[in-house]
Amino acid sequence: MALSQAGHALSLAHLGVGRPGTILSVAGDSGLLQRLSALGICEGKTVSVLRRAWWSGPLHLRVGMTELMLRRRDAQRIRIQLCGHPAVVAESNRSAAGLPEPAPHESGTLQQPCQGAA
Amino acid sequence: MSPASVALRPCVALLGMPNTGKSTYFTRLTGAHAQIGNWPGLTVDLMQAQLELAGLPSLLVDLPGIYDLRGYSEDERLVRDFLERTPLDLVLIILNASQIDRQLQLVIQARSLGLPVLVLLNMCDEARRFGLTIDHNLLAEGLGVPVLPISAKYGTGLEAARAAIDGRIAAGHGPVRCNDPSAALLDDGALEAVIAPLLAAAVQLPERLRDRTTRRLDAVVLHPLLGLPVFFATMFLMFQGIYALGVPLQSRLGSLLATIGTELLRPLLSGWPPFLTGFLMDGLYQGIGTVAAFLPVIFLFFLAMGIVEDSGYLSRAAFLMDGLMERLGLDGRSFVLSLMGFGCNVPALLGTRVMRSSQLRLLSMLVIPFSLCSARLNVFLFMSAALFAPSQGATVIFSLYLMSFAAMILTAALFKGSYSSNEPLILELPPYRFPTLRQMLNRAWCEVRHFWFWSRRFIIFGVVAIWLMNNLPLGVPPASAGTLSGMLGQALQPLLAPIGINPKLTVALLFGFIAKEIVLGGLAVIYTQADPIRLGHALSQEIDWKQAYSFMLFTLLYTPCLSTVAVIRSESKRWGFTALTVVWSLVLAWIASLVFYQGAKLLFP
Repeated sequence: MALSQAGHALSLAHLGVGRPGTILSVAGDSGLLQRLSALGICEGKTVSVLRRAWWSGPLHLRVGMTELMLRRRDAQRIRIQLCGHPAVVAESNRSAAGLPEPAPHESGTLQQPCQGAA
Repeated sequence: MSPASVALRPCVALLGMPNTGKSTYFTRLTGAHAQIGNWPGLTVDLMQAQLELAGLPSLLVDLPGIYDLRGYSEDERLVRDFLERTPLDLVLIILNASQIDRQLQLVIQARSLGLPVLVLLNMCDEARRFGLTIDHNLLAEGLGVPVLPISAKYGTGLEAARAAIDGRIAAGHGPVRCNDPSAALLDDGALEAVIAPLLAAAVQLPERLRDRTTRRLDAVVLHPLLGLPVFFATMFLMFQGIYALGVPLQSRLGSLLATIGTELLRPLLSGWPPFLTGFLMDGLYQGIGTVAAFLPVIFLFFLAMGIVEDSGYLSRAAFLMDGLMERLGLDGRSFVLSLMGFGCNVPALLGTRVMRSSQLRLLSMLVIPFSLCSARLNVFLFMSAALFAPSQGATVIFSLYLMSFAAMILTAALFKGSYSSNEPLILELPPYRFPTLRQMLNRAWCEVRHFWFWSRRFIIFGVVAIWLMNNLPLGVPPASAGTLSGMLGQALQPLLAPIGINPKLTVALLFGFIAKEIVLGGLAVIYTQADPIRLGHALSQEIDWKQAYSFMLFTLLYTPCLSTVAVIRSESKRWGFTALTVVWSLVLAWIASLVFYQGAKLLFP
């Protein structure tokens, strides 16, 4: 489990319960990105984890007005930054500006985050 | 419905994301006279209804709930195809007001396709309760389309909405069909650029959603340790309740129908030839009557399932079970669909369309037919009442539900290697809602009516065939070893005797392949007893409880009905896979019954 300091970039799967974070980037094929963004998960949105299910089951998330469930391995595709840190805006702009689009998710191994390890 | 007649009359489509109350509004507008209809060029059926709009006979089509017109799931593709092929006079977009922040994108998308749009802001009551304020006039101004606040559940704002719809149809701008929808749709950035200022102007979001009821309930229902026990206890109590209320109703109705038959109908037919009276009374009337007696139980069942489904508990069940399901190669949605399959397997199989991965769909379709559907429940309620003590009945039924789960888990575990997928699972957890009494009754009534119309055809065919086989060739005593059914039953004994199934039960099982509704009607014909109590007595004289349970296990596990086979074929588009589902369920049914029957004979000689 990654340390949860403000301003620290980490994967959504490691976000502590009850601490809001801002989404920096989402990795996946375009179909998945569309589905996620239709449910409110896209860059710049604030997300918080309400609870984690037993037996490493899914996460219960809240984004905006919507509550939803997402599996931990899918949550690992989502990089977030704990709220309350000025670097959030700069970071999300940088990722929007020109970092390479991750390759479509095919093989079953998880995408590595595009902005360095947590 | 032919394509020509569709093109002539005004056609209105209902579009919206899942969980927006689209179907509730559809029922409100059409009074539940909907039928399933074929659409030219589409491989699937859509709900549709005829109604009068602005004095013109019109057609209303309920499209599947989708998140995004750009998406790639079957449902999303289907909606795009529909919009491309069907000229529409109006597209009604239903939005869930409390999720307006992300639902507006569907309106923007439909607008960019040039479709004539009218927005209905549904669940305004709920949005207010959560602390949202939406200025629908400002929203309408910004979107450039009319926006009307409604509550489909409580019926507020419906007249104004109806008047607006009539107005749009009366204005008669003519139908619009969009060519190549994919090209006209905006990307995420462009969408956000349109939506953000709209939201800022027209919507006031609260700091935090004020839905304390949902938060408190979730703390218990989704509790890491308590969640699953609470879920199974709820299900157990629900089935106990259905059983306690429904079975006395069923046996009284059954006796009543039998009395009507002997006291009223038989004297009326007294002058007719015996073969014909036998056919009408012992065949048709008994077969249909026995199944009809179970309609109250089915009604209660659909009532309870409807409450669970509408309340939002099913998506919680998906959350609780996903950890286990993931290990079985399935996901929480497969579990929820299997629960829906407890009503009827066919819509549950169709529900797999929301999955994008074909492997996951196939594995789910392999598993869903093991759900103990209401037609099988009929048989089990009857058999357990006939061969077990009243105090054991509910437990026997519940054990069959557990067997149904066990069969699904075993099947998934065995086949997950062949159908592996890693489709991401993203599922909404809507706030808890309690359906109104009107909604609940209306829905249960529609389901029962559908069950009855659907099953009646099969039952009539099945019982007629069984009665004929039982009485032909002429001259041999009915239902004896010399009849067609007796010979067939005898021929299959080497295979079925080891699992405790006698020749008479064999005939019922054979016809049960067409539909499980036939099994009970068939037994009534085979034993020439329409009164369920007397039929029970007749059965209990020939078979013991071990044979009865073995029969129930076999009935539970083998192919549910021809309709599911047809749906599996049409949805998977593979004959090989369809054959696999049939063969595997037969093999599993035989093995399970063999293990149970031989084991029980050893343990309780």
